[in-house]
Amino acid sequence: MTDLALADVTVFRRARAALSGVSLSVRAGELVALLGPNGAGKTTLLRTALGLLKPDGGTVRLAGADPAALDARARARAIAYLPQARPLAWPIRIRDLVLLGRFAHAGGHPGPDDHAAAARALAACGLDALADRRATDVSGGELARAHIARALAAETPALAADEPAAGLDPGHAWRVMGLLRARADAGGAVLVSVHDPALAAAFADRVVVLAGGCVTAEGRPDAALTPDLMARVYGVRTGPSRLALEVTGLAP
Amino acid sequence: MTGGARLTLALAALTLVAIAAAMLIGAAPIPVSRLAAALIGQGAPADVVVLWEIRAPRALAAALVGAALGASGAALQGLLRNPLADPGVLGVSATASLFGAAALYFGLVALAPLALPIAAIAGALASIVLLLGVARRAAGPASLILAGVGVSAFAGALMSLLLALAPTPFTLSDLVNWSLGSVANRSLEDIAFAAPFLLAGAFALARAAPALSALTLGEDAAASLGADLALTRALTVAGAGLLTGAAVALAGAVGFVGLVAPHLVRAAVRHDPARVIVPAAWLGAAMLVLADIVARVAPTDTELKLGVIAALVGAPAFLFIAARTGVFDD
Repeated sequence: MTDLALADVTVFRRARAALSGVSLSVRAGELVALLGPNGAGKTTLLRTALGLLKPDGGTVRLAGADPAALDARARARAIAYLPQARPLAWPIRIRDLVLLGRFAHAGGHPGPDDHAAAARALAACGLDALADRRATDVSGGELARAHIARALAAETPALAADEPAAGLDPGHAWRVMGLLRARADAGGAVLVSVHDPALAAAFADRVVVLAGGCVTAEGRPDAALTPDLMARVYGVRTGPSRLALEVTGLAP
Repeated sequence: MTGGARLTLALAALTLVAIAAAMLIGAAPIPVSRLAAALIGQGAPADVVVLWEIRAPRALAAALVGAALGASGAALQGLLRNPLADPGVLGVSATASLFGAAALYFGLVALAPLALPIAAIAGALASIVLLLGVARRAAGPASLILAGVGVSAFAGALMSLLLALAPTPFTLSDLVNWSLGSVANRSLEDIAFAAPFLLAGAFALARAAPALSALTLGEDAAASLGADLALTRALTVAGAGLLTGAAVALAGAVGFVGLVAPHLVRAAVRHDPARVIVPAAWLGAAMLVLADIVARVAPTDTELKLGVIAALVGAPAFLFIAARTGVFDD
């Protein structure tokens, strides 16, 4: 079944169409990568899919319901979101950060179920040893994993992540994408925006390429991500790598 | 029991001890034996009056003002995600005291005593709404503080204008008391007028608190986590406005309590903005009761104002916290 579906969605921001007529679906068990240059509308699309923005045209369906009409906590139990900007106002511990993922379930008073879910997410992300460290005292890669763990701890059927791999070294980027892939393999519907086509090709079942607020290409990564598309969308030439050092997996 | 609960209990005990001390220590020398009798309502009528009608209401007023300011500061800090957000620093107390002073000046308070807390609360709410508008447009902790400087300066200027226009010396001394902050000569009746507003404010903050934890991750993440941001904003503004306004109605503008109290308890509750509020309220209460004892027993010609003592301790603390927050690095 389709867990997340946008049909013909149009969103105006500052009297300009940030998205026009975008359709997209993510099924359970599937990881869909969202590509496109800066300003193409990826974040607007994700926020609309979450119900944080109301579309000016078209429909959004999250597990069959309109997310913008759902009560905030019901929506948060249906889809978890990892925004691109991840400010931390206070130096909380990694464990407490991950526990915030249970906010919609716990309403600020986490119980045994919430602690158990947070512990599962910490373990899945390899953060057990760091759980009691302050979020300000760990590396950027570790903090990125902690934010992923926060999103996973909600144990929602759907998950959206906005550039979770941005700014990470190749090892951390692959680990973070691997965690999202594992969630899809466990039955989640995962929608991730990424900049690196290699990451999309390695982890996504399908890619959706946005340009100027419209879907310009869609399909299996190897079919959709052509040299012509890269030139058209990003304005770059592609070819055999000079270094032949394209990352193909994590070293054992 | 969690660290936060233990801390809250300890601070509540400290507040009660401080109130008891405030009742036993004072300018009128009363021997311990007579104090004990007066405490339970026995003994010389004059002693009972001193203990229960002068010292007890004054100590209770100091405790309520400290609790209100501590809780307001903690809640505003959670909402604005800024450890420097304090009703005094942001000019909220100054605006509340300006509105309160205007109500005094124009004789509204003589007509209806409730006009005082209502005017002060209106001033507090107006300034918080204004600051929130600035905070949502500007980035960085420094811009909010700058907005607070502007609000403080404007409220201070209007206050000076009121003082200059004050018709009689009596009003003048009233207004001076007001802008410096004091709980001298507070009666149980004054407290009763502030109490319903304090209760309503505490209730609003209790409702807002859980979502403040989610706001640690920013507005987008908090909304996606299921926090109702509009409701949280409204409840926090209303709660902090009611508490600060009622506190100003009781004591005038006492600064820095809302800055120092949350700062001192934050690590003990692992920096969770929702769980800072209650211990910060108790610590604020204990701090102001103790500061008021100092105000009363300090060997000065005229009695020290409570707000002056709070600023003597609080202003250096503000500089310290500001330096650690990185405000000066921008």
